Amino acid sequence: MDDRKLDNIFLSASIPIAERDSKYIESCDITAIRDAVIALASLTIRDYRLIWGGHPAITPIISRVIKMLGGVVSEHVILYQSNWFTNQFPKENKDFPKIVFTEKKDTLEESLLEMRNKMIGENVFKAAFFIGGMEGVELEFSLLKKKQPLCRTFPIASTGAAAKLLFERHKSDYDEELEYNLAYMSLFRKLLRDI
Amino acid sequence: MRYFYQLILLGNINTYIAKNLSQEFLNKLDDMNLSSKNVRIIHSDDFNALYNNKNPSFCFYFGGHDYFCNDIEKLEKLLNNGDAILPIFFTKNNFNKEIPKILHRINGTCFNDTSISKLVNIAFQELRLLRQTRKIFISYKRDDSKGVAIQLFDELIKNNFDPFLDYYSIPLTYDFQDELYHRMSDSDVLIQLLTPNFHRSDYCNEEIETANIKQIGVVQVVWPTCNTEKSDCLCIPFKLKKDNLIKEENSEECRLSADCLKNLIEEIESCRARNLAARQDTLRGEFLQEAKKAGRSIIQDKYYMVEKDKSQKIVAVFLPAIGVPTSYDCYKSREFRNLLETPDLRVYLIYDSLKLQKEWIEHLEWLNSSLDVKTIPRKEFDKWMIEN
Repeated sequence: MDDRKLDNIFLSASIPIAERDSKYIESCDITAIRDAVIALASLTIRDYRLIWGGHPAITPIISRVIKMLGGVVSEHVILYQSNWFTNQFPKENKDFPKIVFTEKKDTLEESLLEMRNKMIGENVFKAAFFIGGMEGVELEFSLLKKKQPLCRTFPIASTGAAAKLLFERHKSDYDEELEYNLAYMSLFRKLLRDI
Repeated sequence: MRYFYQLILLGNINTYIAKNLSQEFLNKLDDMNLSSKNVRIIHSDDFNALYNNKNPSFCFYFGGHDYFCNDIEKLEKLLNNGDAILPIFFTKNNFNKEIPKILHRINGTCFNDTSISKLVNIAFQELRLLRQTRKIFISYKRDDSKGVAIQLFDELIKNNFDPFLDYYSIPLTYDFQDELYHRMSDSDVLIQLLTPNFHRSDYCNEEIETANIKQIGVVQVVWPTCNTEKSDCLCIPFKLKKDNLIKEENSEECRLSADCLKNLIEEIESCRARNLAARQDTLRGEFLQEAKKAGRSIIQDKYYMVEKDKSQKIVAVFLPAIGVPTSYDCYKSREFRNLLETPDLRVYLIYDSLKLQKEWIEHLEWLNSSLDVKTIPRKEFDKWMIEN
């Protein structure tokens, strides 16, 4: 999608809500989710391209990080947004010069799948970070594994929810630091250096 | 999920001193109207079951009259997490014999030179349980919830918090975000009284976004006629039922029921504990990790970090700027000045630029040039370790 020579980092994150499956909310740590997103955005925005699907709580955080970092880094992010949510886009969307709007389908699930397929199909990712989340994060993990098997994946288990479940399901593939290390910027710096 | 302040007792804990210290800690909690429900006192036997690295912690390690090396794995866990440990030894000049090697780089205290109440005060200081470090920001719409706001303000004071009431008074100007930043400074928790009119306002989301970037926890007290939205999901919802509100129809006289208020205070305390730990991890934890990666001997020592040379002499001290440094309390300042008497001691302020206003960052940079106190921003920890 973008012709700049930056490596792409995929962020798959959301915050579990009580009305959905309790397996996500039980282990969820919203403080850890917040801090992990802030750390990842702070660390990657200068030297990488950060790509994620819009979320009304996550997108504003990334917008704020960009503002605090200053400089022309807003070009280093790509936000994917399904037109299913046209009437609910957060005001922060205007802060991002690169937004890819994807087609609204007949149902919410189909619209989200359309967005995910485009996001993962159109970009080659160097690494992917999974933070918190519910079924959508689990689905993005599966899609990425299938379409980009060489991409390094990091389910940040300390944030709980889907990320923790993904970590536990594939425990032998991951360092236990993803489970206990809460110094996220230092952790992510190390993970990115090693990929 | 509930979070707690963790007081950890390891080593030679079957002594009257360790037992008295626990009791005096609980007595002080009671004196300060702090609920012991938000505190866990963890001993060696229940450490593995109870310790959670997401809770703020302080550890006393008690040495023995003979060589004592209990609880090494537990100490390693605490050190890796950047938790503060105070070794206590009992015979003068016997530190190295009474305290395990893993703690030899940390300054200990001879029990004969101190008292139990001083030790308890250190724990309170480190867990930031003293009132001046427990600032809470309450935001509400005056016409909707003035009565509850004032009731909550009074109750927070009784529970040893330092509350600040902000009734939605900042004009929506260009500097709105800057003004919010300034007003929220040093707060641990933002409480929003989420009535429908407040929720619809521009302030509501602006406050949440400011709180998030500053690692301030947000508790939303959600009125029965209100629902949270997806943009609120990084906040902790405290949902009110109709019977939690007395005289709901009159915003000036409206109050929360006693039980509801008690539960809300516990929720606020839990939120504060988690966010305190998060802020400590962000600065202290990260700095210590980068130091370890670079092979430098930098350790946590009470409220700050120190670097020692091979002869164990302190050569540098690193002060985390948790909140705005002008809030730095007198106690810390005195210790800091004492350390400065060492003529060749290097002093550094470590900070996270995401949390400070532009003017303060410029002030820190001025300190760099003027006072021989250098600053290290969080995003440059790794670079600093290599270059200095």
